[in-house]
Amino acid sequence: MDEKRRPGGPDQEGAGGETENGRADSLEARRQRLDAELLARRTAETGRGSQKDDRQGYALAVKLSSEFIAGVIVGAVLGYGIDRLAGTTPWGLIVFLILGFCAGVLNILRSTGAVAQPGAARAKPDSGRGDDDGN
Amino acid sequence: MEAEAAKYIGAGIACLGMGGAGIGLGTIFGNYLAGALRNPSAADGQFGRLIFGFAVTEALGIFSLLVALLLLYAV
Repeated sequence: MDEKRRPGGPDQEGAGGETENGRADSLEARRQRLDAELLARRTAETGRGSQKDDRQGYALAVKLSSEFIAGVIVGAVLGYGIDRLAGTTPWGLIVFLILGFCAGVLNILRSTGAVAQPGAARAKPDSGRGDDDGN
Repeated sequence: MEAEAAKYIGAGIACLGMGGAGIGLGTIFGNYLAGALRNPSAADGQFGRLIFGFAVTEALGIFSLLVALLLLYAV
């Protein structure tokens, strides 16, 4: 942009060209300021995330799936055991497997913070969206 | 003995339904991820709906698992 300010530049044509160049310079300066701000913000964001976020994402995925599957398996085992003890052969398994599924979904909702932990309202009022989701 | 064999074959066929649930879950989470990469600031607000869709889709897979378990252990 410094070449444009030189007299006899490629697009300099009298007084009108002078104001045109001034506007172009200010636009160029504003564009450079915007670029600098965007670069600073972008580096700040990537510095905050990257490797730590990756590990937290893996940990969250494994935690959520294992909590869900644990609920279903515990429900199935409980239903099978109750069936064997009480002799109500299909119905205990059916009811407790569905209850285990509901408990697994509730586990997921609790660990993501969509539903408050039981007793969290009494212990700490602002611990609903806990520190396990990285926010 | 033939009824026993049919029981095991039926349990195996019932587990095919979990593959359908897997396809549905892949669609849900893939579309959520695509949308979250397009607009990351709106992703956190839709997380509850993502979990709702996950629960409804996974329920059908659990039903087929239930049928398989019933055929294996309760019939």
